[in-house]
Amino acid sequence: MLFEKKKQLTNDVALTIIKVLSFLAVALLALIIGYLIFRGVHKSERTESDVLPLSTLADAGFESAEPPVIVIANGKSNIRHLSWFTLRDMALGKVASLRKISSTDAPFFLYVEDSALEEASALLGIESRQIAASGAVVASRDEILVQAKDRKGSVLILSRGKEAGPADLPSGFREPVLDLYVLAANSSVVQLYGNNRVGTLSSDDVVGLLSGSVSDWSLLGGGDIPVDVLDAQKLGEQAAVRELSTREGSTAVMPASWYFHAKQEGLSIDLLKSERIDSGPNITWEYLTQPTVESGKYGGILSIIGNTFVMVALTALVAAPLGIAAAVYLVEYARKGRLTSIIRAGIDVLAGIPSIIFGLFGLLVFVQMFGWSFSLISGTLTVALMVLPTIIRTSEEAIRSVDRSLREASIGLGATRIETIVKVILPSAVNGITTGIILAIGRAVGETVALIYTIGSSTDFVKNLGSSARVLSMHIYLTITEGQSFDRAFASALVLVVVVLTINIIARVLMTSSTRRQRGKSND
Amino acid sequence: MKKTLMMIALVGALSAAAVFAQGSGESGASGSTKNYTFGGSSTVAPIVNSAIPVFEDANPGVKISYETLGSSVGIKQLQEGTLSLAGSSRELKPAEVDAGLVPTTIALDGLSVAVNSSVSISNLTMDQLAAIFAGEITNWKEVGGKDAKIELIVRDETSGTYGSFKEIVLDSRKKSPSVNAIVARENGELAAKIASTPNSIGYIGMAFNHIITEAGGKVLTVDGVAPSSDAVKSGEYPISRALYVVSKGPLQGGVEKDFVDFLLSAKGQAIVLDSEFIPLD
Repeated sequence: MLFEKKKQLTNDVALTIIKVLSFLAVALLALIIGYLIFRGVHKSERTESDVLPLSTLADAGFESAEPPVIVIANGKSNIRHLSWFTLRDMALGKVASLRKISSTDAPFFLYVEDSALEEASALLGIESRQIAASGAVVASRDEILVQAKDRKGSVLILSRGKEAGPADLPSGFREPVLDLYVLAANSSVVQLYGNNRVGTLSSDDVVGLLSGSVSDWSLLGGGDIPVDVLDAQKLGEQAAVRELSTREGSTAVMPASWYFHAKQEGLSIDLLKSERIDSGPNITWEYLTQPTVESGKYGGILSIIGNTFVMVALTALVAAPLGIAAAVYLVEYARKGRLTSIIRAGIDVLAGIPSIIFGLFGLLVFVQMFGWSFSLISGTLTVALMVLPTIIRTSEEAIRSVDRSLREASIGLGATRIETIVKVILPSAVNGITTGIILAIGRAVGETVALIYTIGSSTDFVKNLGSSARVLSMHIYLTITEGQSFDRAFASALVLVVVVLTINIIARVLMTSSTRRQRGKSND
Repeated sequence: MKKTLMMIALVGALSAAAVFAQGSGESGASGSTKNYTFGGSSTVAPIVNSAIPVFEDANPGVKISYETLGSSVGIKQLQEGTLSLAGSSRELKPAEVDAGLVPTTIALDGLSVAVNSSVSISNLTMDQLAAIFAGEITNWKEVGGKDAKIELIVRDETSGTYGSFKEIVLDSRKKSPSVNAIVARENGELAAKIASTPNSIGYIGMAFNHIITEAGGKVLTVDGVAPSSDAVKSGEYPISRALYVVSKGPLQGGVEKDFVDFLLSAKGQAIVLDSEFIPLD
């Protein structure tokens, strides 16, 4: 009895351990996939800005005055917020495209409603004739709305009029958040103290500073000076700027134009940079359907997805016949001997070689020796060689598992050996072979290392075997390498994961249908 | 069975399409487009990649690709004849000059020093920087920070960024790089490692400051000067270098020469500025 109980106990303990471990494994997988999907669809970009983000101001309980003009942008411009400095550059004609502003590849156009011209020039500290001379279109509201509607990169400055607000936002346009305030401080605040200086302020830092809970600049990494918050709005421009430039440790939230004027007069006032976290959707329909611009900085990844499929199809076309033929030879023809076992061992070694070695081989042989340069054919052949062992091994298994009776029946009916192979064995093994090919494709589509020095990195859709062709995995690698953006890399990663997943599901379906059919056959 | 046959047919059709496409568009045969392969430094890549579409628009029939391989691999492949023009972010070695390679300066660049957000200081002097990367200063408190061990993050030795940093910061002070450092192969990897390793410090081309910020790190001032194009131009910012394109022998005509001339033209230099590097004067 006791023995039985002990047995029961060890059983239970073992079961619990197995359950916990499997749960952990599943949780880890879910975590990885979940994180990839999250980063793929959601973007959270941290940038430093000269202006105070409106959300930070709201957190600090600062009541900002309503801007004197309404600024709207084309709905496709992706502009979420505009700082006073950007708006000023726009009005001065210094902005040519939206690339730097909203990572959108569109030429920039500025439209100013005629009745808003005065307010705009006052707000931005530019004379109204300068705005007109910058290339901006100044006309009536109806006219500029019509013109701006078809231009992706258009920004419009409209007069506020009497009744205003997002309610009467014309369709096809969006209203970006206007950041018109800066956190200015006496120059003593941003000076270097030893190796320390006040750094970029987070939203919490700003809130703490304005609410008085941060009482000394040393708490933010600066010198040992007490914080002195001024109420710039109450003081008015002249007094606020004067106070700020003379009082050590003083700081104030003020309109960017005040700071700009003071700086032009050479007063000892500096800006405190603040942090902005921009979040929003990451992968978009546009990203999937637009060609790549400037090696992935802008635009989408359509051509790269296309290249990936071409590369994979060619790899399969090269590797599959070779692999199947080798498998047929190994199963049907090769005598069991020394040579066969050496070949088998060779294939297994080949399967275990790290892909960088295939990459080096490709570089030295295809790229340099054959002179094919960095091209689709160099990359494809390298990857084909790499996946060959997988195809040989799985095909071998599939061919070997074809029922012996089928073979014997075929020979018995007078078929030759080659007829038996082509008409009987291969058709019954086709599902297993296809599964192997699809698994190999799955490996090829995700391969990066073997391609770095072979396939090239042109983002255009491939024109011929000799053209350089960037594929998805390489694109992710290069987006990181060239220091473009982690968010764009994650968006491409999500696409790649979906492609790999689809291929695996296809392999799975084929595998189950093949076993079912085989089982059905043996029951007959 | 039918399904699988269809799959195979589909794969076959796709590949056949690609092969046929090759026949019609083969370079040289039709003479319509001519392909050129440039490559090398990942730091130079943003400039060249921005310049290529503009250059191709002005020169119909020319198709250029730039392969991001790193400065040293790029120079090697230029010698092998795989590339006809190489981007480099380091100066040529004497052996490379002897082999007949010719560098052309296309832009200037500053190297930023970046740290993890856990590091409290905002500035380092050049001497402190050299001592840190030589492994002589190993604790942040020696330079005014918290009591924590300094984690060095450096670029791999084939990168031009590594070469320039070593030359400007360490060689001039007769110091050799510390061996206790984490190596990052690429600019993006370096940014990610700085952001994820507490108390870490590393260096990166100035144009990549945004990716440091995006990853959550911060950029230090050196000798009190922040890396900016004005500061590099005026010589105030101490760690700056030139970026080059390298050719096999002096350029005499051809698309390579046209491309280099384009990079040096007013339009090309505007692209340099737009890619956040510093144009030549």
